[in-house]
Amino acid sequence: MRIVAVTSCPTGIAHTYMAAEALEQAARAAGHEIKVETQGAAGAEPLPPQDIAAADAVVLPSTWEGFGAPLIEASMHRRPLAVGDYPVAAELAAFGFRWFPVHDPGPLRDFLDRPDAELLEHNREVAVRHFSLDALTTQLADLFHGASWDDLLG
Amino acid sequence: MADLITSDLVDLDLAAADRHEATRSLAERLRAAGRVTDLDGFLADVRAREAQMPTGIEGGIGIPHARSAHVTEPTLGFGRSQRGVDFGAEDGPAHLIFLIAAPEGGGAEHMTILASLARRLVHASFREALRQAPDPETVVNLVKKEVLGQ
Repeated sequence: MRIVAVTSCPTGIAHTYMAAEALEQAARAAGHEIKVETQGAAGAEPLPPQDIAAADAVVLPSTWEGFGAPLIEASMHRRPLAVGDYPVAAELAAFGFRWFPVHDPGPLRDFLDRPDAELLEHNREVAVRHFSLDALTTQLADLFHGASWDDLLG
Repeated sequence: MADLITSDLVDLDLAAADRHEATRSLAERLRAAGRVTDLDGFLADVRAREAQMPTGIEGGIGIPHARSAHVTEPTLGFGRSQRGVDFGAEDGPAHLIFLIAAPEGGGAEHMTILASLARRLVHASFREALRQAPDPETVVNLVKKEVLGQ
């Protein structure tokens, strides 16, 4: 299986890397491929979009993730997600995304045994509706219109 | 760049009743070595981090740490406690305590060393070797070998 993950923590010097190392060890021991993006103080190298697109599962285990982008990208690519409790995740969940818990591997494992295309399609629709370039254009136009900046829209 | 750890930053018989004492005791070693310029300021930064989320991790490990303006060099202080110190881990007190101090504006090179240290901490063989180390020099050599590959 191919797994991608993103880790982070408050100071970016300890848990980010401990979690990455533990995930890499566990994946290797179980015979899976994994790539981990460490969003720490040593500098982050974003996961290549094609790796997210090709992953069997996307895991965002931290309680301190600062960024929603991997979550949206994974949804756009119809990838199943296991996500920790972090503030940006809660904000995104409010849009209607559905993902699996990180603390209990059971539900994700069941999904991987019997993939549910409908769930992945649902997440993709939510991502397209709220976060695609088209959606952004509409949102920006509304914003400019609200600020009486219609001239800028040309 | 100074060594990440030296033998005077190792206390193999750390006598501390709680995590604040343990952290202060190790931080005093960092100050004596010139790695920490303001002890109380540094301890406040460590406490602020500890308040966000406990730093105890399973397997009897505590890793109080901070990025702080009162730190001059990326530094590891190491203490071993016979009786154990509660760092908030679910499976009990910490017997191996790593005080990780990072300078506030530390460059990528500094941070890469600390990242490498953090990665070693999850390896059972590294922890076990630290548990068995007979003297501070052994700890220093272990860290150099495992973290810095020297």
